[in-house]
Amino acid sequence: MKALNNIRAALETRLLAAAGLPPIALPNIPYNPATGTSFIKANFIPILKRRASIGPLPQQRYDGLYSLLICTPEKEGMGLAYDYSETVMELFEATTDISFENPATNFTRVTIDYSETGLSYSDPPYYCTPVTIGWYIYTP
Amino acid sequence: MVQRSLTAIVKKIEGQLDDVKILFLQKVAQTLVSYSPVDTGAYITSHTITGRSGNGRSRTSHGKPKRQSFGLKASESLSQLMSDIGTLSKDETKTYISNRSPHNKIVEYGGANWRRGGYNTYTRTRAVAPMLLAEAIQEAKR
Repeated sequence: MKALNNIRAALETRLLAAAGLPPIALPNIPYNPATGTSFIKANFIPILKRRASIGPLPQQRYDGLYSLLICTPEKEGMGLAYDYSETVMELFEATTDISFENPATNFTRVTIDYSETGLSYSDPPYYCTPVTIGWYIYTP
Repeated sequence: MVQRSLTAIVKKIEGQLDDVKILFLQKVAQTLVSYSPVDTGAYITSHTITGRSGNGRSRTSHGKPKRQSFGLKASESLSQLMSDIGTLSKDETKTYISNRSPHNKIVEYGGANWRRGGYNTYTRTRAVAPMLLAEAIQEAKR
């Protein structure tokens, strides 16, 4: 697996393995939520790939976002949404290192830069709360 | 005289700092526009750079024709932002970059019913801002 897929796998594996969260809707995979249930939409966003050192085979630094949208049924208050967002932010706490090893023994360690909850908004029949996670990684 | 030399150096540094601010804001404006989606053009033309919080363009997409040209709307938006930068006072210590269109949050983070994720226009621009600042500093030094 190449770097971007390894990073995506590291983040998704951590999210999917977490207890206490509703179903996760992954990008480009059809998902039809049941009426009146909560779910989380996950969006992997690579942003930068830059040289991190000089020389003929420089180390590379990748930066990006893991953007999550917590969708809870509208008109049912904010308690559930903020419980989920706290769980997610604890899962992706700043300075946490998330390791992933694929079957070809390719080891990846993603570092979490920050995680934050944004302003909620209505998108009927859901009330959406965004959580943004910033990550980076140095590859050999 | 030493005092005249020091005054000249301080003035040069102040001039370079002003240049860094303008160059940085121009780069941020270009990045914001390049990351923005266009359908009616209401969102992209609502970007604002101002010295006062609470100000900013707010254009609704309601009733506007869809599938507008990205090039035309991006040009319009960039032109507005460059004009905003040109009217900033040198004495202002804070600058606000905002988008007050009614649908800004759903454009940024996406919708529950969307087949894709949000465009994360501002979050992505914020992520590359340190790099843009470093570039502005290098250009101002030339």
